[in-house]
Amino acid sequence: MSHFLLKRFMLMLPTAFGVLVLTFLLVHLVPGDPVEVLLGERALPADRDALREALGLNLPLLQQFWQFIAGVFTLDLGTSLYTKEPVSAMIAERIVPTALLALWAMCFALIVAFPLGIIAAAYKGKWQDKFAISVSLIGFSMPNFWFGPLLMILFGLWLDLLPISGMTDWSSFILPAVTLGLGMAAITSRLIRASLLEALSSDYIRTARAKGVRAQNLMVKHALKNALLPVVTVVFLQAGALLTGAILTEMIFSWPGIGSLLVEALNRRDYMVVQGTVLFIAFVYMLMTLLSDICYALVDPRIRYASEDR
Amino acid sequence: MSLRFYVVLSIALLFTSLLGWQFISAYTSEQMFLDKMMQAPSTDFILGTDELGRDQLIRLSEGVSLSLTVGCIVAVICCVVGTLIGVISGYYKGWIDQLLMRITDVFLSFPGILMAIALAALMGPGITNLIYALCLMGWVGFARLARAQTLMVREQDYVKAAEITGVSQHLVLIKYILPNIAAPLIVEFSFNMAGAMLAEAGLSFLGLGVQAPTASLGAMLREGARYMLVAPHMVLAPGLCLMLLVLALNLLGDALRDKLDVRRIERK
Repeated sequence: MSHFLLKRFMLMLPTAFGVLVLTFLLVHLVPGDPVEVLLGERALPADRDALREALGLNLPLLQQFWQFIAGVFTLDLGTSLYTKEPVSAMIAERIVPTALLALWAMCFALIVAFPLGIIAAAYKGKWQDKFAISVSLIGFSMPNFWFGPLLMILFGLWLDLLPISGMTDWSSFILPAVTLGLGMAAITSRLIRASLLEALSSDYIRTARAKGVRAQNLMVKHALKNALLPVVTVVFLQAGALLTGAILTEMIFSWPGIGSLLVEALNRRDYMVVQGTVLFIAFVYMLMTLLSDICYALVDPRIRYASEDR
Repeated sequence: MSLRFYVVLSIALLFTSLLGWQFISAYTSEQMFLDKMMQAPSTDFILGTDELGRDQLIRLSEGVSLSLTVGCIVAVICCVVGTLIGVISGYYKGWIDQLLMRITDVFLSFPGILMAIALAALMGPGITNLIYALCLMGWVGFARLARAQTLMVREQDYVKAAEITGVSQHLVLIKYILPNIAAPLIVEFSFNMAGAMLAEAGLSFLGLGVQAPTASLGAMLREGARYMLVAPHMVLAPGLCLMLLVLALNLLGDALRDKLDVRRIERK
């Protein structure tokens, strides 16, 4: 196992470096001068030079990159051009609301996905299956920046049941979490169905059935247990995806999280905050992929032995 | 014919007639009726008007054609570039494969929509930049798929026979490998286009896409969401259109996958 972990971790290093390069290039090699964008076309040359120096943009590119890397390792992501606060502090402040929202969204997704997937697999080819597949397909195709407003109109405006913006008590979590979790619910339920069907067609299920195991027991104790493998890993992968989905969801619901920090920074053209937030989200995403692989190896020994053979 | 077929067909018919509306509509998409702002649907304005008193139906029609155009352009570029990279990687192997696949890995570990948002924002809003940004995130799926398929096909006897009889490598790639890896790529094209259209609308929703006064589904949703408490009709129609378009493409992809008998190679 330690061999696998080490190998997987080493594989991540070039990728992590690539993500750093890509984030750096996003801000530094994009056509157009950030200073001009920030100050406008009619700014005085002296002002431009001063800002360029303050941002370190007058240094050679490699040196800028070195400073950027050094900064990342000391958790110094620069200061905001707008509020003059350190970017890492701004991000730290927003982590909890986003993490809570993602957690709620995940709970919602799993609560919906399991019954849907199990019913679809149990009634394969019947109307229940078709219904479940249609629901998940619609959920999968639903843009969350439309689903959010729909929920707001229905539950906020017409029924007047739930708050529609900001983070207050538990009821304010419901609409954003449902909006964010919908896509994950759809994907996970499809996966649960597919992996249950595969498990149900295997020999040990036939044996169990021949021995006279009751249908419910067969489903829950024998099939579902084995079908859970791929689901567990996808949950981690989806958690990474939730973070990017949160950008739009948070904007719609005025949620005080990382996503709305990014959107605010984009609107103010606050390059340092954009760079820091993008880097943060990309790293969390990468971490989730890593966790998903590790989790897979933990629950399925075949993966780690395959990696040791090579 | 299956239910899926009829759903796709009716969505296609619906959108054909919506696109055709551009030619017979009495209004243009930029014509403002300032005395009729944010009106609910009526006989004059079938889908109502927006916050500047513009006819929603004609704007919707133009938004849909923009969405389809952008989705199609992005998917074609991604398909060509990604397939090229994947086929080269899988056919020649060696260091070039290693290099291309490491680059692909970096792009894979970077959430696509995040990169598109950052790029579009930093390059400045506008349709060309939007297309660049979407292409940069979309080619990876094609590259992985094309590489995996090429690795499989190049071991087939007919490819080996061609190589032994002296057919040049380029010809082998074009005449023997490409046609045999096309089926899964066609399926991927459908999903990719759906993804591109969703991403385009998402970016326009953030104000990073097409600029006013051009109509786009994302921008209409953005305005609609702003006024949704007073004029809910503004947010309903564009979102429904977007969802139906994406749904139809996903259904089409599913149907093609069953028809062409390909098991989609998952991204991870």
